[in-house]
Amino acid sequence: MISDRRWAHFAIPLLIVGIVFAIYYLSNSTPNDWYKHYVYQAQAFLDGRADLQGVPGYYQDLVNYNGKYFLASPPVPALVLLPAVAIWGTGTDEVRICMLMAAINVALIWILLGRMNVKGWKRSLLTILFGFGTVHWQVAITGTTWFFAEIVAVFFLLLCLIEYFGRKRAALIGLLLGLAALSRLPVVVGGIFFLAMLYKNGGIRSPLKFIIGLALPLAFYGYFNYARFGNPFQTGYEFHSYSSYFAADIDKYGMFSLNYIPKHLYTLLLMPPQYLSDFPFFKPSPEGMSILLTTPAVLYAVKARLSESANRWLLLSIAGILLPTILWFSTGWVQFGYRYSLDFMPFLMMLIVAGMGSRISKKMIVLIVMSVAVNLWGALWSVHLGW
Amino acid sequence: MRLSDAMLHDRLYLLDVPDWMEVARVGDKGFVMEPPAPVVFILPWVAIWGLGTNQAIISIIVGAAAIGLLWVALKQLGWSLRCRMAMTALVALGTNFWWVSATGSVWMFAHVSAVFFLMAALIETTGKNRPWLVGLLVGLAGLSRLPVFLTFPFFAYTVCRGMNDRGRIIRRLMILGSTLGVMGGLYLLYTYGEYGTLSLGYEKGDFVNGALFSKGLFSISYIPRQINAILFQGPTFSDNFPFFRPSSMGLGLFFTTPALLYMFRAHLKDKLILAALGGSALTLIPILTYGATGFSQFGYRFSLDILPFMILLAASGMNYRLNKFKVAIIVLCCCINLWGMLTYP
Repeated sequence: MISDRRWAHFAIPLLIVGIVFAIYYLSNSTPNDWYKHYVYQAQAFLDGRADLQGVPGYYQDLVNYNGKYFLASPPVPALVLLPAVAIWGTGTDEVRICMLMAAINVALIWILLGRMNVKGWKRSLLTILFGFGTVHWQVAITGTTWFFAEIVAVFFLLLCLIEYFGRKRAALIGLLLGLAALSRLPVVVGGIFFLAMLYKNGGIRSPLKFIIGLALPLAFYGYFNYARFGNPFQTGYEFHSYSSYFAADIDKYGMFSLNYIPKHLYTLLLMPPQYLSDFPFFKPSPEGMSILLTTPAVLYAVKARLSESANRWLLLSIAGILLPTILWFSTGWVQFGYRYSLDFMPFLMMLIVAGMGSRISKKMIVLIVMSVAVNLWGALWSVHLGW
Repeated sequence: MRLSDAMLHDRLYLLDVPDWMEVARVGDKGFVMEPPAPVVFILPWVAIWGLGTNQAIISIIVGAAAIGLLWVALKQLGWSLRCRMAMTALVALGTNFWWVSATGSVWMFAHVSAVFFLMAALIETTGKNRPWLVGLLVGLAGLSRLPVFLTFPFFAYTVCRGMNDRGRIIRRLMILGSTLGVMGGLYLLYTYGEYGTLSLGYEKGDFVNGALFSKGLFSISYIPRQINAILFQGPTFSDNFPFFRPSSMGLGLFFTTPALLYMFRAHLKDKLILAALGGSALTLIPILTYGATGFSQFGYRFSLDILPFMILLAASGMNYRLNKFKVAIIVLCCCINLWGMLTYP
């Protein structure tokens, strides 16, 4: 017999997955499955190839190398899709799978909060905040290539944190972080937090195991690059064909430049919605929107005590993940909010938890409700605008 | 300045008005639509220097004097030296009052004049608290910027603050009310002298025929555009240093002065703070329903109509105490407004 407690251990996360998936699904019941590079990458893996074949002619963000098309984005989201593509081929609906994985992410945050000893209503509210009060919602229901990569990165990063707050198997943590990084490369910098905390808790051996675990997926990535481009360090971004929208910037400054920092910080921290002269008067800017507007509850992160070393390392990890991102030419257009914030959202959630204290206040509820309302508005607009 | 010159020549209208000047035109006469109190500051100088008077310099002097008045008022309110210094610095250098004072054009000088008289009223009501003088000063502020008349609920509270004698309270409120009434009546008399009819003045301008005022001077349909200007109007992005430039459409209140976010933590159980909120709320009604948002401007200049009250609310939200974070926010406000001063197109 399974005890009630153990039953709840499984049932609540399953219930969360079911409810969240239903809401995500209903938010965008007829999604535009326009860009699903990873489905073609998965098909390539199943066919024993590295190059993409049969890709629709309008696809951008491809690498044309020696007459073959490759995907520069790292391959883990394609690996995640393997079972589905094995069944449905390139007809696989990436958006629906994205919604499902995103729903699992919300259950994972519930589990993570439990392991962080967050209980009761606070745990529920923070789970709602993550699932419906951040850009996670809009990213989940959009589900095209770039958005799916974010959801998969969050998935592995959450698993990583769950393991850290659980049995703390350093090699497994490293492996999971590596998988997150092979979904969204900047996430690898989040290793700062795990290295520091594992060292603090277990001396030098744990960080070494962590590095070994991390090295495995990175080695695979090197091999994958070698197989495609003859150089393990050649990711393919160099040969990437970008949207004409970015051409002028890339020609002028290249793909990474200090010149891109201001527009990233502007998008992340300040960018407002667009004003319309008619009802409903405001719509999200496709360039993005400030995280302070999309998730005002992040203000609680400011209240986290930096006298605690874990919070300091969390902050440093967030800054570290953000650093390569803000040097990148694109701020994430077309998007609702600043989608790259999902790269560090699990860390940010932990800082929010730390800043909220133990009691639920009216202000906390108001900020969470506001965050959910803004993201509902963003999700509906996003569907309406066909993003 | 031209109105001062006209008054010195026993006229209420301007002659030889350039085409670009925003006035109400009746025949060859041009009427200044803005209320006349700012003339008080300019008239003596125009009497000496004529139309060569530099209005911007007068604006800077009056703006600086308003800051001095704020300092005195805050001292009379019993705030600590540190809190006074911080909030005075915030108003002087951390709000768009800096840019507005330094610009000194007709619309901006009206704000400077209104803030000056409001600060003076604040001194009087936190000092000797003579209702007739409070009414006179609020009236002069209202005759600089008409919406400021509606700050009266705050002063209605302060002139009776701490009193229990019902008869005395009614008497003082009547004195305040009648003084304000007289000031309002004087304005109507002034517009009658201008146009031969009772008027607010603004409806006489050509701009009311523009697209911004398609539903008249005031309409609730204008509220979203004001909300946009107050909350969401951001800077424009530029590829060149310093990368952000203020938009001439304005800049959201909390972009310009993030320290004002502390208003949301104000203690509304304090009746003075509640009165400040009441006065602000009433004043905001004509502002939020007005067709234009203040273009061209740095920040949201209409917010200056309730500037003293926003400072009271923000200080309350800060618990009248400072820490490193609050000081950093105030310094940030000063940096933003310095940026506005240096980069406004």
